[in-house]
Amino acid sequence: MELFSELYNCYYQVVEQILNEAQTQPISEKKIHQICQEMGFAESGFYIFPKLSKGEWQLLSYDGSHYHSLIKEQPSMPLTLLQRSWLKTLLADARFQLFFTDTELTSLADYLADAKVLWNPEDFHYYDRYADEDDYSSPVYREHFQTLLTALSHRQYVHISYHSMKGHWIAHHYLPLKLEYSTKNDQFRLLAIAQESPSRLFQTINIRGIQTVSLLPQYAEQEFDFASAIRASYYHDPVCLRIKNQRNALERAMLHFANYEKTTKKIDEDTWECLIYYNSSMETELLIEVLSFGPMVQVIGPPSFLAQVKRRLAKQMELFAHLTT
Amino acid sequence: MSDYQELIKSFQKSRNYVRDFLIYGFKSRDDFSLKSGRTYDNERRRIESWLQEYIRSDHSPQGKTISIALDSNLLYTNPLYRVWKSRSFTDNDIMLHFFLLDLFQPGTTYTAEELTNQILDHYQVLFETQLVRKKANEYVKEGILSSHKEGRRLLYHKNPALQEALPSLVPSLLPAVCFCQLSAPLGFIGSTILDNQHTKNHHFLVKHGYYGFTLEDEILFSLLTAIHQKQSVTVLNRSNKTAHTQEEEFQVVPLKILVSTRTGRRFLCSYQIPRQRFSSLRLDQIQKVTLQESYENYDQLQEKLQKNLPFCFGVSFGVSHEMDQIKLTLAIRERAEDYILQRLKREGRGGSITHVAKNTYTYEISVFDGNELMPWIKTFIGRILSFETNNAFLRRKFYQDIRQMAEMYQLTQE
Repeated sequence: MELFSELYNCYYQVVEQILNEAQTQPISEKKIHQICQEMGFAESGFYIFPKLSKGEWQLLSYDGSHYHSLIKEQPSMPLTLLQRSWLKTLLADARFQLFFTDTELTSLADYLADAKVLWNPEDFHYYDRYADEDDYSSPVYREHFQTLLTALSHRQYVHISYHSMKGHWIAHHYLPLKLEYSTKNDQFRLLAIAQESPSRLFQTINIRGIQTVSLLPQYAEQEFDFASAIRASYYHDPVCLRIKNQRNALERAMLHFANYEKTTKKIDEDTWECLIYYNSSMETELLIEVLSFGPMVQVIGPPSFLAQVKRRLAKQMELFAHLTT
Repeated sequence: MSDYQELIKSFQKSRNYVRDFLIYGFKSRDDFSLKSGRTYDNERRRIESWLQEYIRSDHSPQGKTISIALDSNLLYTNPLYRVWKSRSFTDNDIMLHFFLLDLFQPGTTYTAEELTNQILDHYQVLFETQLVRKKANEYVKEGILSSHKEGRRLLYHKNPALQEALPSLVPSLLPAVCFCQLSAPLGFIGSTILDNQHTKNHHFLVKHGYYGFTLEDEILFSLLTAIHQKQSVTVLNRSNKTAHTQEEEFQVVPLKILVSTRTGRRFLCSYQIPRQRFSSLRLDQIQKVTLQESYENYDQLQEKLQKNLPFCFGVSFGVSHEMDQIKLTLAIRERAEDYILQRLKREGRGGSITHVAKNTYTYEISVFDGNELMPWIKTFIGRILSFETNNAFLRRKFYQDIRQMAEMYQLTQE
């Protein structure tokens, strides 16, 4: 079992798609290039097309204008042992189990009987994960999760009643958009928009807080443009940080902020400037992350973010002044 | 650049370049001085090709810089999995792949000789039987084909595809794979299942997703194998703690993978055989893992580690024999700021919290290495009443850091 194997190569996927298309009807050179562009790497077409057209890969025939597949049937690839082992390993993961009924889990376990697990859950220790994880073993949680999955795949509205994070009781009709998993919290959240919401802003609902959820006989006609909504939510001005490369701070900061969209440039021999793009929902978290670096990372702007850092620090200085008097 | 190819034979070579473009993104051609300029040009071109939608280039006084820009709020898969999908292959590999999948329809079995003849009949391509047998045996090892003997004949047949084996389960399985390819260890494997099933994830996102760490998955895979088989290993480690990069070999017994959900960093927690102590090595600094023999007292080491882990705040087992005692006193307004108290409980990793006076709480913990608490403690800036510890160095460092921050933001009260 190899992880880095040609079996998972992107070219195999591209060629499979070309062969599938060429089985239905002969395809043009243009179409082959189009598939290469859509599914391959940027330059894949320059390698794949000559191989196919010059017969180094004897998988297509040419009739003078179009290409025909020499392969008779659409390839159906069995799961490799590595893929089956990965699935078998996940059978022990409570989050993976959420997607299935007990009967389905038994069938899957039978199918994967010959595979070996790649790791046991106890082989990993998430040392800074919050002690506040969702209860994935709860049948009610699993039922809610599966109802939301159905709604997501059909773009179907749901009625949800839940306790909000601020402790309020809310009941409303929502269109589920995404299920978001937080690695840090080990929790699932639903990102949804309320039906007839004038702002079209999406809300975050903790799955654990849901009391009831039921499917409604209404469907959204179009896919909600989630990427645009996220991009529109970002502040115009990114946080600007100045990083001194002492105590290995540069590498630590680059790793720590790797989950944000950011750009970094060198200012002088041991100073770097990093711009981080964020929105209001990330603000407090980003603020305390920056504070955790102490004097190694300095906030330059924007003014509102800088003011929050200064306010906390000023308050801290007051507390220490009080201690010494 | 006549020798340039988009595909590669070895993952290791490209791994460090991808990582540098992703993590730093400000290094220019001159900063990659370890290899020749031509190597840099080839690696850069490949990475631009693999990850074109995520590449950003910029011009700085140091020269052109390339970075990989990922926004984890908008990622439905890990773009870096594409690097894993770049393994080179031969013309025969790809032809035999499609010929074998095509010939093996449900219920058909062939010997290697029969396969060779079938390939010639159906596709007019002549292969040596030995080559066909080699590929068939490879596919048996990979789990794509199975073989059995009938008399002296070794017959091959294709294993059923997922839709044939479990048609009713596929609608539940694919969403589970969509989620786990993004969140579970070795998620790259899940992404290959989605490739085979022509499925993409549209519904799941991961908050606090760190994607650079898939670059260590080959190392992780070897270490998990060693843990599973209770084997010792030799690891080649490249550390850049000092100004100069250092390479060192360690003989260790791998015991656990420690993961930070706040930075995505992963560490090998192991027992160092020559030094007879536990230690942690960053996976992204391990260059090579060589599996050695089974370790006799493996289970005892695991038990010992279980007893020690509660005293690690992070991954460090400390350097001195004395434990670091930490006591933090915080101002938290009761009821109005209960969320801070919740944070303390949620993030405190077993430290004890005591209500000592109105709006005042203490947090106390005893750990091997108190230095690991320092970043977390600074997240409470603005409400720290006092920081006490038996470690004089830490105490000095903490107050000095706060003073330096105040100076940096021009808040010092003279």
